[in-house]
Amino acid sequence: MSTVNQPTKGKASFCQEIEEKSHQPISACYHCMKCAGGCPINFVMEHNNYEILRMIQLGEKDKVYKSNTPWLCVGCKTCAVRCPNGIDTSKVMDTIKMETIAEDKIPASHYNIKLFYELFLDSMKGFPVIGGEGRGYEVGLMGLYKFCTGDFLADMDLGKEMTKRGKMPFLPHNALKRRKGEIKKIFQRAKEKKAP
Amino acid sequence: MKLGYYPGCSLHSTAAEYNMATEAVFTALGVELAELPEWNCCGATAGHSTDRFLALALPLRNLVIAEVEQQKELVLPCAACYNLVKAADHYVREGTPEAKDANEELKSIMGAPYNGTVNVTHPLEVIMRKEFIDKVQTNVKNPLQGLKVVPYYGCLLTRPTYVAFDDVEQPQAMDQLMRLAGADVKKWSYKTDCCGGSLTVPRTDVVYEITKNLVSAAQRAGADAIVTACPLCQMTLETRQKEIEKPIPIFFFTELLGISFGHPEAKKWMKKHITDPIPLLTSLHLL
Repeated sequence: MSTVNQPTKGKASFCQEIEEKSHQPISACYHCMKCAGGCPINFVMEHNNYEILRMIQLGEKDKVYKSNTPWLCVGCKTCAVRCPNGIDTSKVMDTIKMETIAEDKIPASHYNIKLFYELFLDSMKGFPVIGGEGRGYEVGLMGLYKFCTGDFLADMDLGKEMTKRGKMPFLPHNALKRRKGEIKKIFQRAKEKKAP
Repeated sequence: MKLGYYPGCSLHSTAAEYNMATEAVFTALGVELAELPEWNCCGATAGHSTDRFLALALPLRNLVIAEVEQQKELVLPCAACYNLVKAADHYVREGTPEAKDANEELKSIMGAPYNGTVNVTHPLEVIMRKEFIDKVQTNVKNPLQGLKVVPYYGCLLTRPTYVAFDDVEQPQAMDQLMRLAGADVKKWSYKTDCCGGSLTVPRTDVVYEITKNLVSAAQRAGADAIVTACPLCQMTLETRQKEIEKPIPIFFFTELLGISFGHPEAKKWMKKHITDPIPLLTSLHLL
């Protein structure tokens, strides 16, 4: 339970809300900084991960939402195995990402990361005509990503090399036969669960 | 012997050589890898970063199929898939409310839930079992003499603790295996550092920096190559060495095992690499 950020009457505090959604005992953090010491991405993060936990304890929601830290977290779990209080910081970061998406408050500078994740999942639903339900499809994903960002030049040489070596199949796998439609149904349920 | 096999999307595309080498090595060890029918993508970082339900339902669907197919064990060579499927299995066994909910939904979509009976494993873990490690020893006909490598476990193979089959801070499986194959295994401090793989497209700049640090640390340790057990680590390290003066080859551990077995198809695997490993291997008369 948070000792810093007591809930106001009838409404859970920001800290309690994130603790419940992430299943992580954020209020137990006493800032030993072991998580930040091991974080491989800390050199580009605006705030170290323990600082994000502190900001959550203090209820500084806007500051947390605006930070680039949750979006740069790659979920490598170094923090999770080193925390003396059993906090998996990467799960807190995932929760912040989900909350900023739900509230449409993604920092503009990190929109591309969200876009990439979104297109990655979208491409799993399959494409019109060529299909591909259920599996990753690099050509489709990269095509869509380039179309949405307008950055057509990045990694073109790499794409060529991959294609030359048969590592980027031009068409998606259509692996679902008897179980066709199951992935679409899973995505449909995910959408319904998110609806208010 | 037959084991259930879930290659994952990468092994059917960007890491095709890992798929070929893994199947070849297991065949040599007397194991048939039976690919799970109609498996789906685990959702990867995109799934667990953005949607709680998808993060569980996507990996669990594969476990439902494994149970329907009566597989007692499912081998996943991609560390990312392994991590997410193992975590989903863990949550079902723990009976968390989210896992129960995802399982209910799968039951209505697929006709059966996942009952938590499948042993989710990584090929590195399987090969380290006594019955196979003895066979590895007898299969090494072309020891990797003179090949200086550092094993790179990355993040998803050893963390968090409920997916780990080796020490979380100082894993040894690949070190031992490579020594057994005759390689000169160098010590370094970066074996469990993350490659930043999930940012490789949207934040390539960050990944260039991480790769530069990792590869130059490997070179400082005296290694001529890095050996991995994850298609994402391998691809990231292999394709993001822009700032490295002399890029080094990045191998999959099953590729090096296959070479040490003198497998006739090994050259075919090597030709699929972006950073060409053939000059190094031929200079050591290994290929």
